[in-house]
Amino acid sequence: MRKLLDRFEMMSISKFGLILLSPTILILLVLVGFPIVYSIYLSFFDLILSSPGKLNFVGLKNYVDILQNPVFLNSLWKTAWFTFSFLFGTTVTGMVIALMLNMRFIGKSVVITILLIPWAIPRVVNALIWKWIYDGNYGVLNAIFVRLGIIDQYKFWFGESPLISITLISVAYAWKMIPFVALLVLAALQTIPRELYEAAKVDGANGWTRFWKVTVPQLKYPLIIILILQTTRAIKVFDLIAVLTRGGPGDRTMVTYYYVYKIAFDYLNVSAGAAAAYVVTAIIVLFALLYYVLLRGGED
Amino acid sequence: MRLSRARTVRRVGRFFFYIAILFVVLFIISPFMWVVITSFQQTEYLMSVPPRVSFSEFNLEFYEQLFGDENFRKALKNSIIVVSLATVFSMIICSFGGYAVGTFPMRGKSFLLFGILVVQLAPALAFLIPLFMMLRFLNFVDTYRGLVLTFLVFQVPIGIWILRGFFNSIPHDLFDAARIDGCSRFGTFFRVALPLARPGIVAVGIFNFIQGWNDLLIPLVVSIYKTTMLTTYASAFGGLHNIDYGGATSVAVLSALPTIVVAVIFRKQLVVGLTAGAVKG
Repeated sequence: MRKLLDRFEMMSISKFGLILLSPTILILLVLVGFPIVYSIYLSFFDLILSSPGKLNFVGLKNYVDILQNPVFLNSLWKTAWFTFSFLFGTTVTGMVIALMLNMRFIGKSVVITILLIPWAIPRVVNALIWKWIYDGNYGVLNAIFVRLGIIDQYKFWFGESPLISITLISVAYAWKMIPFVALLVLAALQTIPRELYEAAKVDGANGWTRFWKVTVPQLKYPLIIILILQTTRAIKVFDLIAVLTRGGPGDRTMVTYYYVYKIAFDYLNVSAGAAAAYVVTAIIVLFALLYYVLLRGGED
Repeated sequence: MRLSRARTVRRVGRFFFYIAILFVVLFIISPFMWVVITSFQQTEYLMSVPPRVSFSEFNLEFYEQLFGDENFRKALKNSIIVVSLATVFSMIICSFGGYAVGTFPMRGKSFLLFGILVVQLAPALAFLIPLFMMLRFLNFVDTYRGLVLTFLVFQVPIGIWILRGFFNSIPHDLFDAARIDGCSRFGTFFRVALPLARPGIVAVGIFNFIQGWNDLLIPLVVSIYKTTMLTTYASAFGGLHNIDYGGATSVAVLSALPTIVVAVIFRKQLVVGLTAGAVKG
């Protein structure tokens, strides 16, 4: 033991660092690196777990198939609408709440604590909550809408157009993630130096101008980080769909990520699932790059 | 005269501001409260149009049913064991790793950080497919080992990312001073670095606990029967037809309770961690 400890003292700092990092590196290489490489490899074959047989090389067939698959292509539009409405809703509402929280008022810490609740609850619970609210026979949303005279009788909401169904799912998810955006923006707001506002005031800028000329530019970096995180999150929506609709009725609420899961783990078509997963990866990377360019664009 | 008018305007403004705050609080709290209230009703109340609730006779019927279900008790036990183990392991691994990445001048560091970023951005499904095959090959499917390992895949990268910043912000002189005073390398880590980075380590623990407790995809892929977790159990109440809302609402409340309690108790560290790492949630 003594000897072992002495060895740690003698080795170079890099070597010692590698020892401290060895569990992390092991996890990244064995449980992430290898699976990624292996799944890329598999996406060029025809592995279906339910029907074992010889593994055949099929080239780009899985990629071509998935890009011609009507359910997949339709799911892209649904995912796009889901992502857009989710981003719009969470960013605007989150920013408004953050601006409110940035003022001084009684009970602020209580409000912040309450904000943590939707963020902390499991996404499955998030889905069950809204499932009960949206229910077609006894849901409170139906009751409220009938009372307000918006509809005359109870509706089975997920039987309506995909646009309505997807929007409702997006609202449910936004409810959970608005606090996340609000808290991040609030933290960013608190780092803006007071002097900037004072200077703007001296120059005669009114509240509105100060918001657009001082607050918004200072929020640019955190907002882009938020957009990246929220976009990946929206594209990777899974739990909510799994509990609310399972992609149904029919394929009406089949978003891309849930469909990929179905291909891989319901139909057990591992190769097609891997190919589809990489198409989704490509889309996410594309968005990340786009935001990155936006971020860099402002610095020049 | 003008002064008092300005004061009135300000007061009215304040009034509307508080109304707006109240509106925000109601919007945030009411969906969950509605489920909490529902979970304490009787079955017949759940099937009334328009919705009807009773506050005078809170009913524990749904909770009794839930605890009477052997599968629920099993799922609860599994969730507690798996998430606790994964959280503890990830805190240990991330403390060592975050310290090395945050304070040592090392070659290949940026490569490692790139790897971490890949895990954050890549869709989990892309590597869960072959990971599942690997676990099957090792006979790890439907075991605690398999679940904990898979959780670590997602928890360690985020943890390192958060802790790197914490360790990095400790003045380097402190480590040098400890070395000069005769502290060994591990001594420097345990006696100097670890205590100073404690808020970060706590934040990582809380994040990983909440994230692990909330995850559905991992147990859905890795568990089959023996090791089903609370989220898998709860998700079975979903779907489009014949939903048992008594079970759904009570299991929703019980699954949300631990993470809400943790989030409220550790709210300070949570907000710090949120902003330090801009983490997933």
